[in-house]
Amino acid sequence: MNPLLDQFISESRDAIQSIGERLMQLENTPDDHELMDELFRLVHTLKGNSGLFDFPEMTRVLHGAEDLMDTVRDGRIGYSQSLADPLLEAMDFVSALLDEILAGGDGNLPADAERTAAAVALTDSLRRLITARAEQDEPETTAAEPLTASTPATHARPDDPADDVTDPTTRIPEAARMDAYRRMVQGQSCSWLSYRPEEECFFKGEDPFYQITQLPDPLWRRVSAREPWPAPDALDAYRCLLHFECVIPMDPRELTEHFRYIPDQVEIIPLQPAMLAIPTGETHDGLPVAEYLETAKSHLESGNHDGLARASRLLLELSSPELKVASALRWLLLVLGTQPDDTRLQQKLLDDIRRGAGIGDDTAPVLEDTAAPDADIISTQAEILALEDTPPWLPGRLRAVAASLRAAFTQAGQQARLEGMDEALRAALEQKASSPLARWLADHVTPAPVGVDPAPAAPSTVATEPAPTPATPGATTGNGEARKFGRRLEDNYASPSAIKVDQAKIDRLMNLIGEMIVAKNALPYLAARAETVFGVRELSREIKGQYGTLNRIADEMQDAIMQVRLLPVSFVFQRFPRLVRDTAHKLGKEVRLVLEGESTEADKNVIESLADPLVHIIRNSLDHGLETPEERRAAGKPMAGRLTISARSESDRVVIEIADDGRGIDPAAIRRKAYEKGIIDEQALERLTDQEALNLVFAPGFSTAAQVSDLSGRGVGMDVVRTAVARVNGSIDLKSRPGEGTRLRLSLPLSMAVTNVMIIVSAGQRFGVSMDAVAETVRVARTDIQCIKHQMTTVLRGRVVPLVALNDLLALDEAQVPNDDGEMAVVVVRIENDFLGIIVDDCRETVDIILKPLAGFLGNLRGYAGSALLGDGSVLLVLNPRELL
Amino acid sequence: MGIEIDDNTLRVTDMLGVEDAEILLDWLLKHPEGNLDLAGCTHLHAANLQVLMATRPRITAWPEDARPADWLRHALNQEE
Repeated sequence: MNPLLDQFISESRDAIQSIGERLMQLENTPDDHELMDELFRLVHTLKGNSGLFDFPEMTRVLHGAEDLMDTVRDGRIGYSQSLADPLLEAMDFVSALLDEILAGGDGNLPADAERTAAAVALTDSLRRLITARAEQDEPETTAAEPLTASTPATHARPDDPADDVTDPTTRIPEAARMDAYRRMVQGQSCSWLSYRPEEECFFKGEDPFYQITQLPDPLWRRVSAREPWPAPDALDAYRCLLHFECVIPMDPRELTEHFRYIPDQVEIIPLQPAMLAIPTGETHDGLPVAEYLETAKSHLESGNHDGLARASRLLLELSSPELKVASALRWLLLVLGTQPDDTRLQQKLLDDIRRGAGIGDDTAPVLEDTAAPDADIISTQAEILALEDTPPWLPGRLRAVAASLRAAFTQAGQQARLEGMDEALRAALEQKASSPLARWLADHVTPAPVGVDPAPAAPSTVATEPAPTPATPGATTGNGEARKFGRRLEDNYASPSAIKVDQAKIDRLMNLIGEMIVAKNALPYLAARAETVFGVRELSREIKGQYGTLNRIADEMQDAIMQVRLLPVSFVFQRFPRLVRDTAHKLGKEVRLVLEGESTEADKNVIESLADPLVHIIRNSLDHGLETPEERRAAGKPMAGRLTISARSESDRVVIEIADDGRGIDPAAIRRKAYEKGIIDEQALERLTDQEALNLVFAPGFSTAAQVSDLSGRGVGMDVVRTAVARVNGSIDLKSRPGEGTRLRLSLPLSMAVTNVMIIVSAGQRFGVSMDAVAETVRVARTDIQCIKHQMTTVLRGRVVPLVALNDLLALDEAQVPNDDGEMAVVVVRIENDFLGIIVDDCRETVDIILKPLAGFLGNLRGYAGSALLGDGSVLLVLNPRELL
Repeated sequence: MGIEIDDNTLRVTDMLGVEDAEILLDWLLKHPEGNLDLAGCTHLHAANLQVLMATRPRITAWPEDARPADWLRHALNQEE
């Protein structure tokens, strides 16, 4: 799983947790705008983050929640518990999705029709709250219309039959339907698809036509406009009016997957063979249908397929092909040819012929979906009644509900079922509560499982048959229905794999391990005391043994704590692409940035201290190093310059290299410049090697750019970079070849928490010197020390090394003490690339210490890097040789 | 971006992106009798499809690519 997703999941969990808390708090203080803003911001952020990944369901639900919160925040609707419930439910849904993503492991959320449906339903319920509540907040809304209109548009029953999406099949030409039928009989699944892209979809980067052309070739298709096309000169090409309809030889599940980002814009109906066998055409008369039906019926009952087919063919020849009866006969023949055993379908087709002929048929055609619209209306009304608040406009609401119900039942021809409603309404109005009406609704219209056999039934049956009430999440407030995605957070507590820890806690841990190391370091002293003071050698050895164990554990512990503090350098690197792009753009240069080793890790402090120096170096490279495209072409280089920033670990250090293939640095120019600025004198001008000249760029107050640009060269120069790097015990190294480019190499410690120092003794005091600086320690005989112009020097391995006495540096009025053989102890330290010998009285062991910088008034003492506590309780001052000089 | 304009003919050589819809509409408004050569068209953004459906231009060549061609024919000769 990639780190971004990891972070997203852990952040989202936090966010969901906070959202839940805020929702609860809001229930107590619904007018707290600050809390509301905070809540909105959380949901908004969560939604935005989810958009980074391929989780359309999550984004959808959060978007719905955000919209709802927005209306609440604007004060368009008031906050209440009935609002908190669906919001909490939405958060639970998101949480469940996070679990699924985590369980999946690969960061993908496989499409799942059920989940998509749940997301759509949840979003719908959230959006419905916006409209429903906004309308209820207008007290005088008593008409049934607005309330029923608050049900999702897909449930509304359109008046225009041609637009009736629930029965799209009649619009498909018979030939295409028969084609689909044949395919389905052969086992292929086919789906009906209606895709209405939303009007603004082009602005969301969608291309509906691309979506649709990616599907397999449809058996039938129609591209139409949602409204008549405007005149060409009034056409807005970017307002999408398209409406695609097609029959696709594809599984509905795959289709759902294909359109998983826009489930609300498509309607997918899995096709069944029987759904397609609908005769279409003009009604007929004057055909000997009755006789045929008689024969057909007997053939059908006796299973005589051939006879039925023969009779049908005969009638087909007699009838004109445009007639409905001809269509029915063609279907009958097709069914007989493909599925001779499907007598039910055959019977249905015969019934169709009979009905068309108007013979012996007292069964008024009852469309299978008669019950459906009022079921939706009823469930919506039930939902409204279930609202637990008692607004001042309650009577209006109750009347509206009653009116809606009356309209719904009357339209379905079931006025009889309205019995008792008026009484219930009256009782409800008297009691000023919705419960009597709700009870009436529950008693008279008990919900039934979805999927009642849609076979044509007589009206009387429908009247007694309970109306199917599809349970939409959110539509049921508090009746404890089982919902897969409605489970509460605590049902399934997923322990997060990562925890967020305050940095202060880690720092504390760091300090503790530091003290632990100090305490551990006390043991060798104790061992020494046991031996020298108390004379118990045995004990001394045992203490040393214990020390060994403790030492190992402490080391590992320190290592483990270090690991916690490690950050990848990408933390700093990630902003470079943008920086380089913008800077290069401003300078009119073409630059290709190459980042390498971004996963190299180092201590947080080290990484953070790197940010500024690196930015400075990169700006320098872009501004002074890389040439303009014209100059590059003239020099025979590729137009685009290359800037490489690489990081890698080298033993206990991190090395960062910034290299460009620009014009490089001309040592002669540096020399001249340094001389002009008075940084070097005339002699040095002659003497300096090229490399030494290059290092002059690090000298304070040095800037070679002829012009001060707004990018680099603000007089801060590279000396600031060097100081910043030195502050974290890093070193910097510059290599450059004129015409070929420049390379800067930064070497930094992995961590700066624990420092390894050598203890030295001078004038009876102990001091520390960082081991990073120590090149070697030697004993130099006093006779080997020569004075050149008052400067003590000695020759070490054929090289002249200047010597200074530590007591002189520290202004201690004592001479350095040689050992019994008359030799002086010398610590050779490396400062930049020069060696310097510091004469001390004695060199002792090295210890790990936690270096604390000197604070307060002592902070001005630049000669010391800091102080540390030693194992024996004494304070050790650690020298900073560079500053000491 | 694949539009080549040659006198009274607009030739689509590649795919028509969303920005091309404006150019296409503009051209069709100025050349109501113009010819549209879609032979090289591999795909067109839905906005272009809208423009074609609303303006019903004269199409001299359908896309060689069968898929967009099928869809275009269905969209533009509706009663097929």
